Amino acid sequence: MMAGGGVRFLVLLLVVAICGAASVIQPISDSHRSAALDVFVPVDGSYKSLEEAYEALKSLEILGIDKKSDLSSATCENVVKVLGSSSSTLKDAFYALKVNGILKCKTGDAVPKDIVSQLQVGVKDAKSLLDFYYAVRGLVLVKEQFSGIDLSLGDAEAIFRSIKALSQSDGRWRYSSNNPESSTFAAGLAFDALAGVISLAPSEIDQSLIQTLKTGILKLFDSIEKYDDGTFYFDEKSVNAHESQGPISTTASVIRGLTSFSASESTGLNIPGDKIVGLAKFFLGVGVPGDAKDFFNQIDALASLEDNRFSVPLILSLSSTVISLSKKEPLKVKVSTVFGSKAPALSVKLAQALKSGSKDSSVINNQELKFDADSATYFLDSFPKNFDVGKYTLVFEILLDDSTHEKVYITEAQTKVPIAATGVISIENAEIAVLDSDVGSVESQKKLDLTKDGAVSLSANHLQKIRLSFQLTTPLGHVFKPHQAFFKLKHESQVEHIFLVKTSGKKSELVLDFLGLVEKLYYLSGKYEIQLTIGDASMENSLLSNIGHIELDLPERPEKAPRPPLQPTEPYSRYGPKAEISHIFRVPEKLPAKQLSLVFLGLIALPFVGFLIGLMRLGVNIKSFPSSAGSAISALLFHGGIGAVLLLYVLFWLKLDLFTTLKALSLLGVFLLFVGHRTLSQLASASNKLKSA
Amino acid sequence: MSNKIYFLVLYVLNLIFTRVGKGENERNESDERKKEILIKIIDLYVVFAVFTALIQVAYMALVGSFPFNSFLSGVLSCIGTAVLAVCLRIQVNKENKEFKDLAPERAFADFVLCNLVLHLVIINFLG
Repeated sequence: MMAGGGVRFLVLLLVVAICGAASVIQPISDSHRSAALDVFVPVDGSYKSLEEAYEALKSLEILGIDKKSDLSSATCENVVKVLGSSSSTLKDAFYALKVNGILKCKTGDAVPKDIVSQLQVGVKDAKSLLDFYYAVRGLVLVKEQFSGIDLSLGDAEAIFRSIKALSQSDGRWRYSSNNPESSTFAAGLAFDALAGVISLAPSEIDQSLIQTLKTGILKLFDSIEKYDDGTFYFDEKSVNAHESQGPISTTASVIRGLTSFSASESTGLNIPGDKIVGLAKFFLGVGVPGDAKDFFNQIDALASLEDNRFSVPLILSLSSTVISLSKKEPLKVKVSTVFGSKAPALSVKLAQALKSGSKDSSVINNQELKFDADSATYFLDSFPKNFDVGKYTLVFEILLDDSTHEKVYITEAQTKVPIAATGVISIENAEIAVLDSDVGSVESQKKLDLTKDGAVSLSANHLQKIRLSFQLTTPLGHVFKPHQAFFKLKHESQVEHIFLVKTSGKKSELVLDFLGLVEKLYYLSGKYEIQLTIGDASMENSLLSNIGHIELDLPERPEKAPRPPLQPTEPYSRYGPKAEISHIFRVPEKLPAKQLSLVFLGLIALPFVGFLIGLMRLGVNIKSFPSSAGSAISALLFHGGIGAVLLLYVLFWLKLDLFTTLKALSLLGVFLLFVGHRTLSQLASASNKLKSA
Repeated sequence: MSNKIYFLVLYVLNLIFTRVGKGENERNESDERKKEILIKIIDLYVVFAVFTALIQVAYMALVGSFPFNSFLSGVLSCIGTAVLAVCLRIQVNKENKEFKDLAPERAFADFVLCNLVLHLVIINFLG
């Protein structure tokens, strides 16, 4: 139980440390690459649809994993089939072209013409946003992949206008003119489609149209949502009939649209830099998604951010958010793009180090970090003298060395990172004492060495108090207030009580007055084990020490006092063998010995024998047995009937039940009545004859 | 178990012989002599029945009263048949003024019938 408690506290500390790390953004790394191989697994060698195939292949391509050879044959077959058929839908044609762009399947020359005409018809007849999107982007892909094909978009401005007609005033887009619900995801698709129109247009599109689009984009950015740590994202406001896209899909769609739009025309968009970095931080903050679509959206959006024309975000990351002051570890910081690629020359400054929970001014001010070219990290190896243990929020500022880079790269104005500085806390003057309640005088006092388990033995009754006190000081000599300071009393019957040790002023102290605690302790007297736990994220020598025992003498439990709660038994003991049940059987009656019974059987025969002898002595005979035939038969039947009844009784005893017996008995009885009547009346008449004779 | 066996066999036989004896007794003597002998037979029968009952009680005293129902049925069958025989004796006895008009055969038929009913109940109770 104590070991379990100790482990639990250590786990708590570990969780605090991990949580600290998770809030810091890390660029895409090899863990993403290895996870991608698990996430994008084709079923039976091919993907369910071209859309999934494209998502998987694009993600693997961006991450630099070469798995094309495994999948190309089956997927290429599918691509060729779709591109060759004249009845494919726009969506299938679009994704087939996308996959073809990655795998470069051999499609033949005849294919493009069919597809081109299909897509051009699609553009002309398009009614909904998705139709426009697939058709226009399909044509763009054809233009990229096949050379020497004349793609004229016809009236590009009219197409531009019809797509723009579906937009709303808040910057979002509708999917079709008869669907009033608007969506941010659709806005991203619209930007992509319009960018395609601009790039395919035979002549310049009217600048006013493009300007209204730009204002629409900036309007959309008004609906951006954010978290407190500077992360920005887009989300759908309403759940509509179309699949409701989550924030990852929506934000990715908008970023895709924006990047393709900015690539298609020369003047840039005026999107504030902190929003771009915030969007990058949103995707990096997702971690490693388990869902294929989320994975694709994350990687695709980050790739769009990485190589785009308006701005490439740079991310500042820490390899570890825990600095051990006792080991004199340096603070290491990395600045890179979202995919971990090298950043241009820049300098990193630690502007401030603010201690959590204190209103003091910053401990560090504008400290420049040194650059280590081998590992491409910036580090701070010496902390100022007044940098104590505890939790800090470090504020970093990044300055690009070359001002021309400022047009290409974006960084956050200030990056705030929470860290924990750990060190060895010294514990002094630890002592435990038993005090007399009213006077306050010390009855017994023991000094404690909390670094090892002690064997202190105290005794107290309910009229006394127990006092535990110790002092915790940081390496710089300040009073340290630990996050966890628990004093546990555990009774022999496994009932536990935990009390908090409060830190105030110079020391930490706990006073337990047993007079008031008698009821809380369930009136259980006896030996209690004392255990003290002191822990904190900044404390490298957190401890759990068994101080010793205390014998408590408490008064008797009164009638109405609550009983101590049942202690939980080992959870797995219910699956073990149960206690043996000894059944109490009815002790069988002692039966007499067989020989005795047989002896008595013989004895019973005696009276019978005596009866027969007596009968013979009396001269009993059966001469009255009638001689004439009829009477003889009746007499015989009479005796036979009685014998039969007696036989029936024997059978009844041996195996028959009452009902069959009664049935048979009734039959025999009726028979016997007739026969007996006849016999006896004959006898009576015979004896009457004799009498009268 | 033995409690059950012994009385059963013997009483059945008793009854048969009783009937035989009762129904067909004849001597080449006078009617009165016949009646006297009949009375003596009945008396003998009663003695025999009571004696058997006593032996059963002695057995129970020796080995304990398990199973009690068998003991009771055995003892009661003895006593019951003794009682019925006494009734028969009363009815057959010439000196008894009340039953002057009752034919001895009729009394004997009653005796047989009552015995049969008694023995049905006894066998049921024997278990």
